[in-house]
Order: sequence, then structure tokens, then C-alpha cells
Amino acid sequence: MKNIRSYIFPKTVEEAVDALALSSSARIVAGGTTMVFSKDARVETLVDITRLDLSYIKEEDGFIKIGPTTTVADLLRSPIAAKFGGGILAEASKRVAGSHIRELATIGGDLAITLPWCDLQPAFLALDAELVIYDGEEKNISLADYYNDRELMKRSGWLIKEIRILSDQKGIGVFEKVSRTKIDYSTLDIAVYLEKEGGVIRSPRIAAGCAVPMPRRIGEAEKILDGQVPGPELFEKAAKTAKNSLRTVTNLRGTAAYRSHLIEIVTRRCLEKAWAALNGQEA
Amino acid sequence: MEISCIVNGEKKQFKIEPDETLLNILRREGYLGVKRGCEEGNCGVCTVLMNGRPVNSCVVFGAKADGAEIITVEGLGTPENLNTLQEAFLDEGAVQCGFCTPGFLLSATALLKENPEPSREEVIEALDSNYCRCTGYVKPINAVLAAARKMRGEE
Ligand SMILES: Cc1cc2nc3c(=O)[nH]c(=O)nc-3n(C[C@H](O)[C@H](O)[C@H](O)COP(=O)(O)OP(=O)(O)OC[C@H]3O[C@@H](n4cnc5c(N)ncnc54)[C@H](O)[C@@H]3O)c2cc1C
Ligand code: FES
Ligand code: FES
Repeated sequence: MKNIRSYIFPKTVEEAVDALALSSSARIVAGGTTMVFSKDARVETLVDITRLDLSYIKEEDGFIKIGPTTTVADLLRSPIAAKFGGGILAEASKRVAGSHIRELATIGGDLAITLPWCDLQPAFLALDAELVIYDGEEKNISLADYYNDRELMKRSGWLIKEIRILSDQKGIGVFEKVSRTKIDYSTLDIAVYLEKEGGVIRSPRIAAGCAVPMPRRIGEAEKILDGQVPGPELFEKAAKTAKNSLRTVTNLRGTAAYRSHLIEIVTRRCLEKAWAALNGQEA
Repeated sequence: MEISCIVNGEKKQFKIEPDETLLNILRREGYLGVKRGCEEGNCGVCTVLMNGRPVNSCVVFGAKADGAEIITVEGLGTPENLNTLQEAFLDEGAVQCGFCTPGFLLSATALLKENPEPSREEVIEALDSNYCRCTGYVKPINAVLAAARKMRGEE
């Protein structure tokens, strides 16, 4: 990073947002694990947000609230992550890099950007997380909408101030990352969330990340599951639809065709696991 | 800019560039036990403890060390007076070329402080960010388990 002139620790969220709004050459640093490699010559000021008391995980007002600078390691150690939604947040955080990077990387930093290795995104999408964006005023936006909000991404002078998940979710989430080694970047991430009511599936959510241009929910496949009695054919149909709905990418970790193939297999497996867990069994 | 921090128990002040990594600063200041390897956050030879947690100093902005407590391998035992963990690495043959050893020692130090009785699996997990191209990992893992037993007074 050739042109950095200053590295600042604002004292309040307001000060941080002001510094970011002041100049288009200012950037947020949270854990810094992505920013430290930035080659962006336009960046002159680094605004470190890790000293703003924004590191916490708590249950309050019907939400699980997570501060954006909470590290992935802290999420992994938290009892809430271990038990909420069948432990999907712990499963996903465990798969972020190795243990040392997890001590640095933050939840906000992992959700904020759409680089092909941010493993928390599908899990938070499957839990229907929302973000509190602060730019002088607070505004809530679902994580799914955030990834489509190009206008917001282009603007400067805002930050993710909190991540929220409705705490009244009784279902089970399952996360799976396919990678060449345990700590390598992902070839494909799939996260699934199901609730059970009577004998049928409710609130099904399926999300994909890393293999696709943008992390996203797969509504096409979710529709097939909602209100249905599960069985091998239903899961097969949903998994095939997931595959057919997603455009995949080719990079060092796999070809687009291989990833499409994986989407079907991994989605089916996650659905089976989630349903089995809802019935108190192992898949 | 200037930062102040505590390195191996000593108060220090460093003049740094705003975009420098902690790895760069520590090596310039003479802590050569902090090795420079991939500089991409992968190999772990640059591992230090920052406020007790093991981190890759090559991905830490140096500015973040302001007010922090840093421990490098120089802050463990001395050559004349090795600590239990360092001795275990020698006894178990866990050191060959030695380039990775400071990183392994610091990762293991953090683990044993938090968990004096780790399982083999937990040791493997705690060493997942340190590459070794010589030993094949079995001996460093054995060394950490041996040191843990010794520190618990079992050997
Ligand atoms: C060797 C290595 C391996 C890795 N492997 C993985 C992996 O397998 N899986 C994985 O998920 N991650 C991995 N990461 C971590 C990866 O860098 C992160 O996913 C990530 O972006 C980390 O967050 P951070 O806090 O360190 O980000 P930073 O570098 O601080 O920030 C990243 C970006 O997000 C923006 N940002 C940060 N916080 C906010 C906020 N609150 N509001 C708005 N914007 C914000 C920053 O401006 C910047 O553009 C790896 C990192 C390294 C170095
Ligand atoms: S030099 Fe830091 S991880 Fe390799
Ligand atoms: S002893 Fe040579 S790299 Fe580990």
C-alpha cells in the first residue's frame, strides 16, 4: 500500500463515519486481514474501527446481536454460536481459515465484502441475518439485499454497525465447506436452514457462497421445499434446482462445471442432515 | 507515526510507517526470532502473541500493536535457560532446520496457557497455522503433549 498517509483510531462511531465521509481515499480496517494486502493506490487513510466497543455477542430484544468487530475466533468460542440453529455459526466459523487468522478476522469484515473466500456469508444468509448500516443514521437491511445494493457499495461514509439474527428461530442450520485442505480457501460453501411443523418443512432457506459470483439465497430451490413432506425425491429436486439456478465461477479452486456438480451433491446432503437433525437423528 | 507497546515485558516505543506490518517492525527492531516467510498469512513462521492470542504478524497492521502486549520467541526461555516447552521440542526431536520452531512454540504457548491438558486433537487444531517442511508434524505434536504433561507435574 504505497500511498497511505495516516492510520487512525476514531474514538466514536460518529468520528469513524465522518472520517470515511470526508474523503473517498479513506477505508475501514477491522481485522485488516484483507486490507493489509490491498494494492489500491487511491487509499490514503486507514480508519481502524476495532476500538469502538463494537465487539460483542448478546441476546437482546428478540435478536442475537453481534458487533461487527467481534473476531471469528470469539464467535467460535461463544456459547450462542454453539447452540443456536443447531450450531451452524460455530460450524461456519470453524471453517474460516486457520486458528490464527480467526483471531484477527472479524464478522463484519467477512460479511462486508464479496471476495470468494468469505465463509461466513452463506451461514448468515441461511439465518436470514440483517445488518444495521450506520452513515449518520441507522438503517436496517437484510444481508441478502445488502449484496445487491450496488449503490450503497459505491458510497463511502458508512459502516456495518451491527449484525442481527432473529432469536426466535427453532430450526436447524447446516453448513458445509468443500475445500482442498481443511484451511484452504473454499471451492464451494452451502448453508441450509429448515424448520419442522407437523411433518412438513417450514421456512426453508438455502444459501451458496464462494463458488458463485455473489453469495446468495437460492429462492428457486427454497420454493420447492416449503410446506412439503420431505423425502429423497423432494431433496433431489431441490438440489437439482439449486444447481440449475446458480451461475458458478472458474478459478484456482475449481472449474465452474465441477462446482455446479458439487452444488447438487452438497445441497442434498445438507438438506438430509438438517432434516435428520430436526428429527433427532444423524444423517 | 509512533506506537508504544510492551514487547516481552519491556515497554517500547517505535516509529513506524502507517501501513507497515507488525512483522516488519519487529524484525527491524531486532526481534529476529520472528521469521519472514510467505508474508501472506499462510505459513505461520511470523507468529507472535498479541494480547495473549497467536497471530500471523505479517497480516497485522503495526498500528494495531499500539497499547498491545506482544510476545516473541525471545520472550520465552533463553538459550542458557530454556523453558519446559522449548526443552520438550529438543527432547522429542521436533526441531530440524528450526525455521518454523519459533512459530510452533508461540502457538503452543497460547494453547497450554488456555488449556493445560489438551488432547492430541486439540494440539493439532492449535498448530493448524504453522507449516513445517522438515519434521512431518508428529514430533512437534508429541513435544507439545510432553511439555503439557511435564508442566502438570506428571513427568
Ligand atoms: C491467509 C488468509 C486466509 C484466509 N482464509 C479465509 C477463509 O478460508 N475463509 C474466510 O472466510 N476468510 C478467510 N480469510 C479472512 C478474510 O480476509 C476475511 O474473510 C475478511 O475479509 C476478514 O475480515 P477482516 O476484519 O480481517 O477484514 P478487513 O481487512 O479489516 O476488511 C475487509 C473489508 O471489509 C471492509 N469492512 C470491514 N469491516 C467493516 C464494517 N464493519 N462495515 C463496512 N465495511 C467493513 C473493509 O473496508 C475492507 O474492505 C483469510 C485471510 C487470510 C489472510
Ligand atoms: S510470513 Fe506470516 S504467515 Fe508466512
Ligand atoms: S524444522 Fe524445518 S521447517 Fe520445521
